[in-house]
Amino acid sequence: MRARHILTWVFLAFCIFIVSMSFLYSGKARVGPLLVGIPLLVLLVAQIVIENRKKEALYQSGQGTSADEGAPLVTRQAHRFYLEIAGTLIGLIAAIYLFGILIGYALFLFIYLKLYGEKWLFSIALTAVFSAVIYGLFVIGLRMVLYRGFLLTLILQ
Amino acid sequence: MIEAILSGFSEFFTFQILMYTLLGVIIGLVFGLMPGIGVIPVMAVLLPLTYNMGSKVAFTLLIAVQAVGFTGGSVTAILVNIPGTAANAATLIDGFPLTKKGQGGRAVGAALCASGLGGILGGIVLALLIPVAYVIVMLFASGETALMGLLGLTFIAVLSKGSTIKGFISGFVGILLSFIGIHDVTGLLRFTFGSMYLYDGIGLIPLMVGIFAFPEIFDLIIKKGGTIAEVDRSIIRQTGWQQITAGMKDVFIYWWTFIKSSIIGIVVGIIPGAGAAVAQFVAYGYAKQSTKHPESFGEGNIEGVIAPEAANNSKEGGSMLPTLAFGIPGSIAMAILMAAFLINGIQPGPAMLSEHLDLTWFMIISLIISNILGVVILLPFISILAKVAFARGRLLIPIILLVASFGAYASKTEFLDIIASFAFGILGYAMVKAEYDRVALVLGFILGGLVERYFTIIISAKGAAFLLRPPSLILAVMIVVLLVYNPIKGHIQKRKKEQ
Repeated sequence: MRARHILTWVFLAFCIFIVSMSFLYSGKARVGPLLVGIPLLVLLVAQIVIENRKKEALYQSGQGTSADEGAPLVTRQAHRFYLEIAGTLIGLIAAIYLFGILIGYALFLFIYLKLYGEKWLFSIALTAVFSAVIYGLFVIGLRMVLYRGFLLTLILQ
Repeated sequence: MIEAILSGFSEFFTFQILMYTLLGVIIGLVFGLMPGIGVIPVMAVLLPLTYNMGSKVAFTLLIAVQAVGFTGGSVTAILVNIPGTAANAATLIDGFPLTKKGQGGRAVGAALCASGLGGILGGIVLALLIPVAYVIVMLFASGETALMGLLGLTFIAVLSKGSTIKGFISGFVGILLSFIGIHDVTGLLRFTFGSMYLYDGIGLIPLMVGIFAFPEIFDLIIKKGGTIAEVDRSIIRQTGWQQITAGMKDVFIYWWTFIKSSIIGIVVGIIPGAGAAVAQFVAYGYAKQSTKHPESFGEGNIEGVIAPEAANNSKEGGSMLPTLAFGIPGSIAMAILMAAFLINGIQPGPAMLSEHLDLTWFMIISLIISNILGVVILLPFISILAKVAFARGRLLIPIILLVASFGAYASKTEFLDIIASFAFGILGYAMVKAEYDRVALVLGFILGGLVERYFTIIISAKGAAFLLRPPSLILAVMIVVLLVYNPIKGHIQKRKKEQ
């Protein structure tokens, strides 16, 4: 299945879920979701029909794997990129969750820069400047309380 | 009246007031440039500090911060596809494609010029409307706010690139997402599944940061670095003054688009609750609708930058009208300004147009001068900022990722907002790949809740009778015309092609 088709089905599942949940609410609270959800259901079904017709037409003309059908979701190369993206996001979330915003950001930035071959001095300097800007503007300037992270909270307790 | 104007001028042009204006402008620009932060938290922090400053210094500082917040926000929208504030979301539709073409300097130049001039025009129109403020503000009620939101939503059809069905699907999904959280009218929790995080609904900033910024970061990862700009580095030479002045000239070349968009901004500003997010999309949609080359919108059309930027800043002049004349703040920023009035013992309302008329003029002058200063201060930095598009991607990836995720976090200082922004980033990336319209989704999300809230209020109070009020009737006719015009235009063009 191609990327564009998967998303249409995801939207359809989301829409069915919202519409069916709406019936649990009373009076005015369900009017909005139903007024939007039901036409959306119709549109999504129409979109799926259109996509299927296009797919059939392409298969009949012998171009079933044409690039026109949309980017394949999982090729070996795409798989590697998706893993890199997932690794980056999970790494950042883990760093923030464990060490908090300030330390987590600094750790993530430094490790990322080093992983991709930046020099030690440059990596340390950029990390220090970035952390100083966040601390200066938001902690000192706006008196914002930054998320401390699981480990720091544990230590402070 | 003349006496009040002269008094306003003489009180503004003192060393102390000018210094505080400069300080406010710099603060507004710096925090406006921070994606997702905006100037509201800054104004909230400054409010208690203004306690002992004296009323004029306090108002100058707050108005200066507020006046240029959107101006700074346009820079990140254009250069890195991260709207600084919700009011800059429409700017990136054409601003970022211009950056990819190596014309980031031109786009920022046009945005700053349109934003600054829009703010000045807003101030001037506010000054002209002061004598007739009462009649104008009373024209707009909940029904008109709801219809203005609905008018914005109908622009989904105009804004959609490619498949109109996909445009509407994206818009409707955005509206459904806006329903998550406490229902304003009944107080019922909808689609929250017992999660405290969802009680206030999905945050606009995490959604916007995720939908627009993260797909660009993912692209940079896939390109193994590279640059944001998709053109040769040699074009970097053109990101200097040549491009900036070309962008500024564009505002005068497309002066009619600028004027129309500014007027839209002012009108939307007068309507309490509609906000800059509505103003920019209505102006953008109208510019696309009325141009000779609508097909180039979304691909890097400079009019697509001028229209939202003129509207989101001219809106400030409009929104000051109900605040000053009636004490009805049309936005959070205006509510903070109103709090400053009360702290200083001034009751906003009709008295501002009689007893405190000199103060009203003082604030109008402050608004106009702040806009001029904002552009003058930011101009020398554009050529440096525009080079971001040509910076090494490997360096940009972690920095944009951290700045964007911090923007998502800082709006409510909520850790889960970072995770939500990542989830929306994945959705945004999938939408790009599947050719769904991200702008329509954001438009639906911004306006969905507003339309539902005001329609429920007005239908409960007056039924459908509100449609008989002249302003409502005009807006309703505009909505119908807009919905009918596009299919008919498309049909005629199709028939012409066939012939």
